[in-house]
Amino acid sequence: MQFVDVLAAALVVGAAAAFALGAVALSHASDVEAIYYLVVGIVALRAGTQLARPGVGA
Amino acid sequence: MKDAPSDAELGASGASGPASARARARKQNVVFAKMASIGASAQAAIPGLYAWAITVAPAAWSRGAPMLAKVASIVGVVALVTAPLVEGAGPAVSADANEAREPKEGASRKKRSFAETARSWTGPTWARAWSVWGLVLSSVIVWALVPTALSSARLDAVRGVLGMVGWALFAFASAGPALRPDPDSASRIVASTSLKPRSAVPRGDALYVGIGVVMALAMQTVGWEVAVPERAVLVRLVTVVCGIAVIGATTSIALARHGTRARAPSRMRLRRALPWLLMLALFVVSAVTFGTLRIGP
Repeated sequence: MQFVDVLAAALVVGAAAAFALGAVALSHASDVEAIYYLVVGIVALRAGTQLARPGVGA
Repeated sequence: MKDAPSDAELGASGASGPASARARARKQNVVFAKMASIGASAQAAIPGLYAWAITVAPAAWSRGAPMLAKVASIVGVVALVTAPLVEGAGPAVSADANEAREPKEGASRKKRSFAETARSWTGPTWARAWSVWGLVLSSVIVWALVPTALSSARLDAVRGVLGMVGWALFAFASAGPALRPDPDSASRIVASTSLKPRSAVPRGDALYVGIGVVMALAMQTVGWEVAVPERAVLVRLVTVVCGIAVIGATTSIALARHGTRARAPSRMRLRRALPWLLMLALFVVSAVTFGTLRIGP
């Protein structure tokens, strides 16, 4: 397992944590904070997926 | 035609992959066959439980409901759950059916007592009586003990309609015969050798998807204490969508391991993800800066 694979796994787990934090913020009626965490989760998930893809193509 | 391997053959082949997979498939077939051969009472138990959960349980466990209502509601569930056991314990063929095969002595029939009638009942008849009357009478007791639970102030229209649908399905399933598997289905199976996969699936996919499912389920533990209904629904919706996204990501990562293309070097993969990593860093730095500025002065 390479460093990139570990980083990808960490990003996916971090994305899940960001989603959970976003849901918690949403339940506490902190809408701006919730949107921030949800966007961070989406970006982290996308970054993790891109890193994990092994193919040569873009 | 090649017969299916026997248990002895499967056992002799040890824990090899295809043999164990076939044994597992056979076990699943047995389970499905048992599910298909369950009687009418077991099939009626599913809509019955649904109707009970919608209309009886909320009344029995509402505020101020007496203990007797809870006990009666539990009796209803017990009647539903134990009806298949009653069905299996009783005789499969009625005594009347046996008498019908023999020539009758005269045209007139004697009026039989209730005990004789009950003795002639089959297992399905007993099960139907037990599940229908057990659930209906226990539900009537619950509703009589907690009449306010069914008032329009406490029962909204959607739940009322869903409860009606549940009871109608229970009545339909109880009155109708059990759905049996098609006896002609065996003749439609094309006999041939077992299908072989084009390629073996590497191990570990279940682990990836399992981790994704665990993370998605963990999100469902959040936000159950929200008092405002609209926000509670929004939280549930967001957590469901986020869970699906996480499961999708872990699944795509698991599938990416099976790619036939050449594996890209780490530098290329980093370059590919660079825009997203930069955006993530930007978000984190901006949050830290904003937090520091807000705390500072």
